[in-house]
Amino acid sequence: MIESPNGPLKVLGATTTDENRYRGNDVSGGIPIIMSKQAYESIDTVERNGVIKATVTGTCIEVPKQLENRLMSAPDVPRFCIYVGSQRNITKEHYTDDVSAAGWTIYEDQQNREYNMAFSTFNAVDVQDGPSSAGAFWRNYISDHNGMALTDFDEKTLRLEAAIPINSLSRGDIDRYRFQELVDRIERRYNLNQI
Amino acid sequence: MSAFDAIHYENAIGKAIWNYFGLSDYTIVHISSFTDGLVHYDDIRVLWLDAIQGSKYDNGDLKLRIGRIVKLHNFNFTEWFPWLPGMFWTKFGIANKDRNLNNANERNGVLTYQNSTKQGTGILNPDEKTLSVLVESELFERT
Repeated sequence: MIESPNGPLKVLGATTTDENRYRGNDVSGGIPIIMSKQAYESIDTVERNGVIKATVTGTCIEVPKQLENRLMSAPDVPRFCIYVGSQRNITKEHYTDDVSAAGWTIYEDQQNREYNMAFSTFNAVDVQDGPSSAGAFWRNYISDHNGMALTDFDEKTLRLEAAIPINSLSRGDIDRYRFQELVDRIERRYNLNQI
Repeated sequence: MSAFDAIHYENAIGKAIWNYFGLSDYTIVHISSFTDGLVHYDDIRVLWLDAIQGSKYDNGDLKLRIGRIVKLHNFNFTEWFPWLPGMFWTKFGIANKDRNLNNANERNGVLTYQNSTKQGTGILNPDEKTLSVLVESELFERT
């Protein structure tokens, strides 16, 4: 939940998953949904079930300021989300058993001082094992590359011991000294200060 | 309780009920959908294409714009939301995804992706977890 002048808001992702129509449909291709606390209460079983299929009616709004740290901007893409304020605008359909989510991390290869981005998909319905298996996969992979995770992907459960924890980032209370140290390393590595 | 207090008390109760049940938003959405139309989507790809193409060809009659009421049919809602909304459906996002999959080579049950330029390596795991590591230039292109 994020706080807003009109009360707490919940952020969700929504997507369609007809794999036969096009390849690679997952939550990373979805759209952010902002719900009021009242609206969210009607589908809060999503926390237990991982995914809820529903039909909703909402308003296309600009991304609220409280979400600026969580939703980044892509070039040529309008910055918006769908706001659902009333539970009366939500019709639950039925549960679904396979929705792919893709987590990501940026890690530092400490041997070569390189920075790479890695993705791993998991089934969002599998609330426990889905994200934890993705986390285990990354820990092994990053370890094999003498690496250190810089960012995490799960705000509820930190899984990668990242240098910049995602919950600190979203709260805006990151360790500025550590962050600046990292920025300096990246600048030196890529000579960014000369650009 | 005076008559004045009673009126205010009733107003407060009415407002609380109105807000609690989300009636205000419900009413706004329905009035707006009658006056401004309701855009229906049952496919996330179509939604994003409307948004991305609409932003480039602003002719004042965009299907998807701020303030528009939309109805999402049979969408899956999760606690995982997109980090870079819309990026997946841009030309860059689609090309990057296709290229990663097209450049994968299988060896010992593990698919390894080798980029044609330099340093780009990545793995597609045999259990369908995908892992793609971007080259330096792409990392900064995306951020």
